[in-house]
Amino acid sequence: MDQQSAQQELAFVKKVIEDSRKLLIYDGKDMIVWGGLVTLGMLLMFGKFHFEIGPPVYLTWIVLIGAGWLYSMWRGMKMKNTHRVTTFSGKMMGTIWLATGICMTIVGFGFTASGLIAGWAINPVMSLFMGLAYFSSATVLGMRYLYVAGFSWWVAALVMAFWTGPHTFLIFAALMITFHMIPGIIFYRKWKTEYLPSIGLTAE
Amino acid sequence: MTDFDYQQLDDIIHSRIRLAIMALLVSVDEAEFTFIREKTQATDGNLSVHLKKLEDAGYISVKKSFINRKPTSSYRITTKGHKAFEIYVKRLEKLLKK
Repeated sequence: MDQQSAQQELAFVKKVIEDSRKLLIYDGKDMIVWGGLVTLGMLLMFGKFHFEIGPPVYLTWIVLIGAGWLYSMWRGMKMKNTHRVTTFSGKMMGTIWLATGICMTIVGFGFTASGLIAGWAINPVMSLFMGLAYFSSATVLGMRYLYVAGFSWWVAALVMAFWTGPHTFLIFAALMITFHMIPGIIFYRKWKTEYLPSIGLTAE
Repeated sequence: MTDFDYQQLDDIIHSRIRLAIMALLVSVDEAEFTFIREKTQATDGNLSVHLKKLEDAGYISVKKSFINRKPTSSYRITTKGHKAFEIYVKRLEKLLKK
């Protein structure tokens, strides 16, 4: 083997590794669905606390968060049967968001029911969790936009801690759209245009 | 141009398709047969032979299961495979530095 062949071999190895690492297997659908559910919840909460109209608080969240978890479980089972490749970053992302979701559900239902967290404290606390998940995701995926999202959630947590009131529901809803649903749509588009064609498939 | 002692290179990996399989499995955690086939653009029969060779050498492991009543095979690289791949790449790099 001469140097030229060795160079070609190395270039080939590099290309295969880079192409595989670039594979964006995540389709962003969970982010879009969860983003939509939480945004709807936040708007309903704003209606409830600002205009005093709307469904009961607990019932709203039980239905919305319950629907989110049901959707995630259904997706988890479906993906188990259809995923043809798993990556370490994919597993890490799944773990980060599952852990965050469990923490937020415990705090949102358990801690508020016990009275440990009450009143306007809930939104800043939830915002902290979101920042944590985004900051970790940014490191796993190496995406600068997600760092910005993480910091934005933390800054918003501070703002909501000092500037309390029904408007915090609107702040949360705006953040949910900007830093959860929009990234979800970006992930979905990339998955549809880059990942699916790379394995010879098209979107359903 | 300096000739390189190709015998220093691992015979098991030193084939375009097996090198592609190894490089692919190094970068993902686990991949199904169909995924590897699409990525390497190999035929079923050809790919099976090369996967078997890597499996026999202990470089990759296979997990067979049924999904929706269809048999599937998932492959992942072993520790031995990781080491062998690393050595292979290092030797190629060494050649380039000559």
